[in-house]
Order: sequence, then structure tokens, then C-alpha cells
Amino acid sequence: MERIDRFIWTLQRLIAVLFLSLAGNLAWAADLVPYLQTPTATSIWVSWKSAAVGTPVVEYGTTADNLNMQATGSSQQLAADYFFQGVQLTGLSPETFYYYRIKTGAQVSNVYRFRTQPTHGQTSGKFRILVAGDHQIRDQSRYLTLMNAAKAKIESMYGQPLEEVVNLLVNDGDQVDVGTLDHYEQLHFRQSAPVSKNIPIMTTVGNHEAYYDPGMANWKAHFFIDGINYKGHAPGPDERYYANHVGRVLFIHLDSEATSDIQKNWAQAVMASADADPEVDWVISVIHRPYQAEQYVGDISGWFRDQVMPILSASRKHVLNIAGHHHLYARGQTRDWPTYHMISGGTAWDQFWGQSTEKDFDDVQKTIANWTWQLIEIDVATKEMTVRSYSEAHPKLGFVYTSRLTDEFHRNLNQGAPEQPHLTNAISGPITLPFTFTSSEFQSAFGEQLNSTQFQFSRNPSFSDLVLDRIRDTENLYGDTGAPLYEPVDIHAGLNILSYELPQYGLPNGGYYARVRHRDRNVEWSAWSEGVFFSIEGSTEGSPVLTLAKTVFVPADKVRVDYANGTGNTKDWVGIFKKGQTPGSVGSTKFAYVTGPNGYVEFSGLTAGAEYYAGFFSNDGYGEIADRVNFYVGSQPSVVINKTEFAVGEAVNFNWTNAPGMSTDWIGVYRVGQVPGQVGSTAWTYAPTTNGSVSFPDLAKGYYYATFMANDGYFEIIDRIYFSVGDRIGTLTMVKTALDASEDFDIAFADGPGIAKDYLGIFKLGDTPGVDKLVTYYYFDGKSLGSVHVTEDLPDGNYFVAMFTNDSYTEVSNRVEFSVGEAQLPPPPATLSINKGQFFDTEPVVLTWANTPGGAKDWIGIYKAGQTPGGPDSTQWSYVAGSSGSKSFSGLVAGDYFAAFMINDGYTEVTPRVSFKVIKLGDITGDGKVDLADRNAQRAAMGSCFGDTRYNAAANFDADSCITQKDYKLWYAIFKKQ
Amino acid sequence: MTPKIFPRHALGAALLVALLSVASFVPAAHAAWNTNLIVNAGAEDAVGGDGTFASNLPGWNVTGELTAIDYSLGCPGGYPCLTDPGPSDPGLNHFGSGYAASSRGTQTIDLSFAQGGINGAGAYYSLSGWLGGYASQTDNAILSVSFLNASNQVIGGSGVGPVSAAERGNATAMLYREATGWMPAGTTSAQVELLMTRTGGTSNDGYADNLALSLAPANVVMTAPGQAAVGASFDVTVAVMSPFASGYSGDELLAFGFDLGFDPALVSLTGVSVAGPWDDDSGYFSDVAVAGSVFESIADADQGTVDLATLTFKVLAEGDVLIDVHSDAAGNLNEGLTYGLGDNVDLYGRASVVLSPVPEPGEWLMMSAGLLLLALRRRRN
Repeated sequence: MERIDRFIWTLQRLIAVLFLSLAGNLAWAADLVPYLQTPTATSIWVSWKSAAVGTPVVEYGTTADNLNMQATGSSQQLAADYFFQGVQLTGLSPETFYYYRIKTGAQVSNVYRFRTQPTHGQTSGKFRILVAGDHQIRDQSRYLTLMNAAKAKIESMYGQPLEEVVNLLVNDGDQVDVGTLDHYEQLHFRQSAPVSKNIPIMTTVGNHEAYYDPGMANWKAHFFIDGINYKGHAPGPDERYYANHVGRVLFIHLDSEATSDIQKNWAQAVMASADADPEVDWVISVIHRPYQAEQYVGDISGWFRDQVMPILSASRKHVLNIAGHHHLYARGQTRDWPTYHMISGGTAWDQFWGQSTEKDFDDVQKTIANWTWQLIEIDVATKEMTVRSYSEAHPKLGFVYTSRLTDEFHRNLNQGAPEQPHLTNAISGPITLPFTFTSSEFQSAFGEQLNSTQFQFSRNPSFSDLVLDRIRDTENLYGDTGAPLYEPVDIHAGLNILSYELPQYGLPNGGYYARVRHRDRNVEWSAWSEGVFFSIEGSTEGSPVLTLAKTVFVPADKVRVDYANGTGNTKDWVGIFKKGQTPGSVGSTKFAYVTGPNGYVEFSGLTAGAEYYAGFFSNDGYGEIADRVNFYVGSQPSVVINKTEFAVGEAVNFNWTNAPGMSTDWIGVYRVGQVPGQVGSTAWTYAPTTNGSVSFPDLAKGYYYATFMANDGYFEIIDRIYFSVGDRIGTLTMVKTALDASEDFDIAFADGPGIAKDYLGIFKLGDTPGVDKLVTYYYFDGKSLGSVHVTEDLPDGNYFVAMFTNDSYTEVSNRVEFSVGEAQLPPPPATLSINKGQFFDTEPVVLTWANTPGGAKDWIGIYKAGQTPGGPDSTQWSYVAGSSGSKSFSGLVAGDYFAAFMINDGYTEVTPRVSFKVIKLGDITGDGKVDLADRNAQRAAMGSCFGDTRYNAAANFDADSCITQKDYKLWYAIFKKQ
Repeated sequence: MTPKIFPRHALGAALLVALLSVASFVPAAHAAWNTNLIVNAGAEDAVGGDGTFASNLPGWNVTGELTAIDYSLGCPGGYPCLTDPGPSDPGLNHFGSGYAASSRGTQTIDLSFAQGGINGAGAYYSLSGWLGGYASQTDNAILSVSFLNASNQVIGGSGVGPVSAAERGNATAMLYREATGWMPAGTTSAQVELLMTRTGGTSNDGYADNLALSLAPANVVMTAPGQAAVGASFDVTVAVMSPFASGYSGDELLAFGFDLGFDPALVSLTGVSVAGPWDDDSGYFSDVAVAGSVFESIADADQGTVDLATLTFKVLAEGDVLIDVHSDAAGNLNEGLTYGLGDNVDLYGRASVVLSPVPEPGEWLMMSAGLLLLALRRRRN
């Protein structure tokens, strides 16, 4: 067609579209327009919106000139001038045409006609379903045009009015942009008007119905769903999902926007009923978000795909899933079940190739970026379903297609599978690649044609260890030709899917099994062919892999990426992407084609201060054939720790130099065994300058490492720096410490140093590690957390177990004592402990005891340093109850003290003493006065924090961990008050 | 410190002026120094909704769908919950933005109460807010302020945000952001704008809460030469004005600490001398530029000023340099003025110095010749 002819042709259609749209608008403005819904064989709901109040009335009859029956309904006032009327006609005859008109007050509509549904016992005839959805654009008339076109095409094809051909329309959701009354009226009802007065419409919740409609009030007001009940399965909350049995078809309308286990379980129960129901031949599910999509990849219902489809397709009655959300047409077959899935198209916001992330999936046979509708025809007697999809428009061209038939597929429930194929290759010895595996010809006893083949290659004969799994269809519409015509492209044109070539280097050397099966155009798979063993020589030695010699590159460095075991395809490539980028949705920052299966490529000029990854991609596409490798470009900082072993409370200091200086670079401290990004750091700080330092003053006892990470991420750009805080950090526990002879037992450990040669050593109780003999030992692979199961039989006796690090006798954990056989552990020692060594005279001194005899006259005495219990009286004393507990002593004046635990009102001490000091509040120097010397002592500690060498706990008055001017203020108040 | 200024281009300014001409003027109900000047700064002045747009932000001129969201109603729908990272005092509501691609709220604050300070010793502003978004999505919130003169022309501004998804750890959260600086002389009003931008999806998931704009008068007098030549050094004395004025009468001064702002390309700080009777504590702190303390104290003697320090700068290049003193007593316990009884007071002050080039030899000759001629003429007379 010449360009001028095309212009005139296009103009004619635009004028026609405009005329139809205006006509539709004028009609809506002038008339009461009925909207039929929720049909059965003997009833139907007639609904409409009116601006005025009035009892809704439907006059109806079986001839146009004799509307001899009348029904009234109820009116819902949804706004001041918005009344939604609903009248249910009941007692109707199945598959019968009725003429009707609607009345609200003095307003009367024209006379229209509908047909009731067939009964569930229907045995012959055709059942047809019109499918459309996704309107969403209120201020245009795209959907109205689509409806007019569908109606015209159907009436033209069959030479009959719409209601004589089609039983109902199924809408897949997003019938509004927002769920307001205005959108329901001006978008969904107005633009559905060409069909809504003649055939009922059953709709589905999309994401847009939920916007601006709290509690789905408008949704529930407009659609009469609550009365639907299939086999006791009532609609879900807010009528957002429901099962509707019409004729011999069960429609399961699901809600992809509020997914839940409750809905899934409901669907499972519905499907179980349907599977057992002799009056249901067909199950068609409808959900707004699709099962799969090749544009805007990932914008699907993962819940439906992963959890619900397996439930529905467990029954062969589930033949088709209808979805929307994407404003295009797509159709495919689930990989294993005989179930089609389809995106209906609609007319909402423009969606076209090149707009989004795209990917060719093998369970989608064709994606056509057109505005489309479908007609499903079910032959009740032969149990055959045929679906035809018609295109009306392309988003860049407008309504130019005039109901072009763009897809047709079918399902016959009476037919069986194709014949089992076999691989025709005679393989007697090792093969070299490339090698073509060939299937026997397709054969069907039912006259079906070949639609798909599936080749599988596995490392084992059960095919549970697949290395390659390819489903290919005879056609694969993916992408378009671009301007000016945007015609779909079949990327499988000319492809013989009965053979599959393993390309050179397509698999590594080794032994494999191959098999094939055929799928016909009735979605039935044949049985698998017998598996054929073959071995490959002369190929690569392993799977494709990328490697880097290092992970941090200074800007001047070339980034060398080594690749190995590639396919050797000259169009395979290595691409460099920034962290977080998705190949295909953005172009690579740098790329290079590979040369051969092994080699390397180099990249330079990468922007510094960023994290990248290299990917290995096949054949000019974005399919990745190896794991990505991550690296960083920028300065590599040098981080130095002041030492590697710290006492608890001691500050851990780091100095860094030559850092990238990015504002969100940071230093994180983790416990050994933890992985950044999987757990939160123990401590961290930003390192936004080239050089700097940081102090972590309050790390708890543990084994740690520090690392430097870039850009608020978790990519480490230095080697980890290991250090420890405290000693005997690790913890060992045993559930049972009195073991029977030969009893197996477990030793759990945590917070180990994480060194490969750490071990759990068992000694006889009382022995000294390094001096006495080690009874037995167990390595645990350098883990910091885990357990060791001991099956070794230990002789009867008392033992202890402890963790030792790096093949030494350095104990790095507590000891756990245990007994074996007849032996009994000695009782644990009595202890007296104190929470700190220095107290202000204004605070209580808390003492804790454990494992003491527990006598009623046991007591704790507080003595001044140098005194002897039994000599001068104690400064304070108190009886203590029980064999463990704690006691506070207050009012001690400044001085040095010790506490002793004595029994039975005597002076026999059963625990080691604990010493402590009481200082006068404000007396930082401990000289008994609060004066200038204290101020100077505090000033000397000013700016220090817990763990710093200048830090002085006696100068800290605000219970934080640093000495500040606020502490001076508090000290000064004490000074003034004395 | 140089406050971030935007937008400066003429079109933006013209659009803003046009907008201001039609926007209703919302007076700040409690405009005063050291108070939050933003009305309804936490979206608490009306009942919050569930995320869909409701006109419930009194005090704000709203375009798009800026709205108050009740934490408890919005949370089930995916909006921030009280358990998500955010302010410690979130109240009932936060700001949200419906389904609009761009939602915006503005309010104009009359600064007539601060004219003496703004056009005199200076006024130091702080703009802050908790800003955030949803999960890994990049919808975001920006809080900005434009400073307007009497002709409603933009003469300066500042902003905070957006907070990136990475900064939020790809989790739903609001993070605190603050910008500070000196308000330009001539400012008569400030227009605060909260802008929420949708970058993907259908709902706009920029969030904000607890916004604040406050203004503090300069209370530090800084004495500096009007001019200094490149290569020369000059001193700047720093003294706090009337430290025992209302509220602090009879109190005692114990310590001080402040930070400095200046363009290091123009001058370098070569010396700090803390004034007596203060002891110089500057070396004790890594995060405070100048600090001092005194024992026993500086008592109230109705001083007009109390000297704090003398700063010595060397001129590196020609230009106009603004040297300022500022502190953040709320965020740093070693900054501001520490009193014996009263709360700490922040320190704000500034001084400008014209940094001139060193006169060239030719100019010295011309000047010498001129002086010689004048001397000869005087001798003849």
C-alpha cells in the first residue's frame, strides 16, 4: 500500500472510530442503559445507574411487543445524584430470548433482548464467551471502540445479533482507573454499553478497582456477586473472588491483589468440587495479574503462578487461565499441564515492545502488542474449545486492524496424547560438538499437528539432574518489526523443532542422557522417548565460569575478566553492569565479545567509586550462562587496627587512609562467621573521607572482623581485619552433663574464633591443658557456631571440655564439666561477685552469690580493707537467704572495702572475697575532697569515651559512655552543693 | 558552611513568583525565634486517612494528593508503620501522597519578626525532616525552603532529601535529614515546599513526618578587618553577646564549644587563642573546632559581651569570605554555651572579609609618585 493510500485508509478509520465514540457518548447521556450480570439458566440481574431516585422496574416478555411481565428491585443511593438500580429476574426459562426495558420513575429505556444461560445438564450446542478487560482510561473511548468492533465482528461472522451468539462476557479487571463512582459510570458502564444490554458481564478485581474504594464499597454496590454460590463455596471477603457455574463451565474469578492462604485454600476446595462435579466439563480461571509475561518481566502474580496454578491444573478440567494487567495479547501453555494461559489485551495505557524489561519465555508462545479481544467457543457435545483472538489496534497506530484474527488455539477433552517419539541418532561412541539430536516424526492418532517439542539432557538416567531443558514451539511471536507497521515477528520461523543442535562447547565433556517428547496443538504431551546415553569429548571441562584476579581495581587498572568453558559462540559476550542494574532493562556499561570458549577480556574507563559486576551472556542476548563476578573500581583503602586482642571495655580503634571518600562508604564490624548483608553489623560508621579514624568503644566480648564496604552496600573492598574482645569468648553448652557409660552426646558451641584448626578438647577434670594428657579432641571446620556429636566411648570418670584455638592449648571458651558412667561431678564452687569495682557513695553496691550452702544464718559482711572478719565489727552486714541471690548495700562512705560470705552466724568464709571502692560523688581523684583537682582530673578526661586511655569512669556523671561538657556541668553542681 | 541554594535559574524563579501570586498566604501561627515555623509540621492537625487522598492538611496549600495518613490505618496497606524506622515522636499521622505522580504542599512563612536579625547580625536557619519511601522503590520526598525578598523574588534556599532506597536499606523507612545555614539578608518570608515524587508504580510512596524550620538570631559578635590582602594574616575575635540576658540572669557560664565555617580555598585557619579566663579545651575534642571551660565559673555581671576566642586566618586567594561560628548543642554535648543551671544555648555569628590581591609593583610606583607630587605641592605652598 502506498503511503498516501495508507494515510487515507487510516484517516477513514479514525473518522469511523470518532463517530462510533461520539455515538456511544450521546447514547449514554440520553438513555437509561442496562447492564446485565450474574446470569443463570433461570435468572439474571438487570442493573443500571440513574441520576434520579425511583423504584427500579423491569418489564419483560418473550416478544418485543408484549412485555407482559414486570419485576421490581431495589435502588442504592451511592451519591446525591447516583442511584444504582438492580432488579433480578427469576423464574425464566433456560436458553430463551427475553425482551425487556427498564424504568426509573418516568425514565424508560428502549427495549433490548437477552438470552438466558443453558442448564448445567446441557448436552449440545455452542457456548460462547467474549473476553476483554483493562479499560482504565476514562477520558478516551478506546474500550468503547473495542466493544463496538467486537460486537460488529461477531454479528458479521455469525449473521446474528450478539445475544444469539455469545452467552456472556468475562472481564479480567482494571475496568476503572480508580474505583470511584465517576469511573464506574463514565468508564466501565458507558464503554461497556454496546454489549452490556444484550449479554451479561462477569468481572474480576484488578489493581485499579481497589484504588479510592475503601472496603471495596463501590465494587460491591455495582456487582451482584454475593448471591453466587458454587457447591457451598461462597465468594471471598468483599466479594473479591468467586466461583460462577454457567452451563457446563465453571469460572473461577480470583483476586491477585489481596492474595492469601485463605483464598488459595478456597480455590483448592472449589477445584476439588469441580473435579468431582459431573455437570462441570470446563474450568476457566480468571485473574488480573498474569501467569507469565514477556514485557515488564516479573510483573505477574507469583502467588498464582507458584501456588494456585498447580492446584487448579491438577485437574484436566482446568483448560484456560485468563488474565490482564498487561495491555497486550499473549498466549502460552504451562510447561507440564494441559492448560493454556492468556493475557486478553484490553485498551489501557500504551504498552509496546522496547518499553520495558523483556524476555522470551518458553511457556509463552506469542506476545502481540495489540489491543485485542477474544471469543471462546465451546462445542458442548464434542467437548472441544476453540479460542480466537482478534486485534483491533496497535498503540502506535491506533485502530487499524479491523478485527484481524491473530491467534487461534483449541482444546479437545476427548482426545489423547500424541505417539511416543524416539531419538533417531545412532550413537556408538563418544561424540564431539556440535551434534544434532533428532526426533522421530510427530504422530497423532487424532489428526493433531505438532506444536512443541521438549529436549532434555541430564547427567543421570532418571533425568533428575538436568543440564539442559528446552521447550520450543512451532512458532514464537516475540517482538515486532518496528515502524512503520509494527508487525509481530516469529523468531522460530524456519526452525525445525524436531531436531536440537548441541552447539560446540554447548556442554562440558562427560556422559549424559538425552530424551524428547512432542506436544500437539491440543496441549497434550506425548510420553517421553527412551533416554539415550552419550558422552562428549573435545569440549570444555566444566560449566561456563567467569573469574577475576582481584575484586578491587584502582581507576587506572584494566579490569581483566577471565572466562572459561564458554560455548565458543562468537556472539557470546561479557558485559559490565553497575550493581543493581538488570541486563536488558539497561545496556551494559562496557562489553566485549568472547573469542573461543576460554580467554579473557579487559575493560578500562570505568567510573571510580562504584560497584560493578561482570556477566557472561550468550548469543547477543541477555541469557546468562555463568555466575556473575562482582568488583569495585576506586581507591582501595588501607585500614589499620591498633591491636588485635582487646580487653572488654577497651576501645577498638581503626585508622584508614587512601579511601575513596564517598559519603556512604562505611566500616562495619561483624562477629566471625557472620556475612555482611545477611545480618546487621555489630557496629558501623560511615567513612566519608579519604583518611580518618573511628573508635568502637563498647564492643561486647567476642571474635570480630572489620571490613570496609562501598556505597551503603555490602561489597568489601579490603581484606577483613580480625580481632577479639575479651578472653574465653566462646561458649560451650551440653544439655546433659551426667552421661551414662557409652552414651552419645552433643557439645554445642558459639562465638568461636572461626579458625580451621580450632578444636574441642576433652581433659580429665583437674588436669591442665598443655601439661596433662588430652583425652580426645574434635575439629569442627573452623565454624564459629555449631555442635559436635560425640559417639566415642569415654571411660567412666569426670571430664571437662573446652574450645582451643588453632591447634594450640589456648582456651577460648568456658569449660563444661561432665561425668561418664559411675563417676559424679564434685559440687560447683560457691561464688560471690560484684558488678563493678568502684561505686559513688550515692549508689548501692550489689553483691551476688551462688552455690552457697543456703543456711538461714549465712551472711555477707562488708569490711574496710585490711580488717579481718571476727576482729572489728563489719561496716555493714546482712543475712542472705537461699543458695543464690543478690543483695544491695547502701550508705557506704568513701573508702576501700571487701565483702565476705560467711556461714551459720560465724566467720567461716565459703567464697573468695570481693574488693571494691566507694568514692565520694564528685571526688574524681579519690582524695576525699571535691575541688579543683577533681575539675582538672575531669578536664583531662574531657572528650574521651569508654575504652579510651584518657577515659575516667569517675568523671562520668550522665551515665553515657563519654566525658563531655555536660559531665562538667553535673560535677560543678556537686561541687557547688557541698 | 555554604548552604545549598536552588533553584537559581530564571525560569524556576519566575514560575515560583507566579505561583506565589496565586497561592494563599498562610501565616505561621507561632512565628518566633527558635520555634518550629512550619504549621502542621507533623500532619497532626486533622484526622489522618488510610493512604487514599483526603483533604486533611490544614496549613498547607496542596497540589496533587499530598495527604495525612494515619499510621494505624495506612500501615496495613503498606504505608509506614510505627515499627518502621522513623521519628521517635511520630504522633498519629505522617505525610503521604496518594496516587499522583507528583504531590506538593507549600506554605509561606512571614518572617517579619526576624527582620532585625536577618538584616543585622544574621539569622541562622535549620531545615529538617524525616523523609523516606517504600521498600526498594525510588518514590521519594524532598523538603525545601525558598527565601523570598519583599518583592517575592527568590534570593536563596535550601533543601533536604531525597532519601534513596539504598540509604533506607531498601526497607520502608523515614530517615532524619537536616540542612543549616545563614538566611540571606533581605529575606522577608520563606516558602516551605514538601514535594513527593512517584518514580514508578501507581501509588506515590514518598513519605515524610516531623518537618521543621527554625530560625536563631546571631548571638556572637565577630570582629574582623573589612579587608585583607592575599598572603597576609588577620584575626577574628569571637565574643558572645549578652549571655546573661533574660532567662539566664544570675546563672553562671561553665564552658563553650563551636564549629567554624569558611571557604578553605580562600583562607586557612592558622591559630586559635581561647580568651581568658577560659581554659582552652579545643584539643580534647575531635568533633568541635574551638572549646573552652572555666573553673569556677564566669558569673553574671551583666556583661554586654564575653570574649570566647581569637581566630587567626591566612589569606590564600582573593574574594569575599564569610567566616561563621555555629554550634549544635542538641546533637553535641560539647557545643554551645554551657551554663551552671540553664539549658545550653547555641552560638551563631558571622563576619565577612574582602580578600584583595597584593598590589603589583607598578601600582606601588604610581602611588609613590602621587604621594611625592602631593608632598612637593605642599612644600611649594
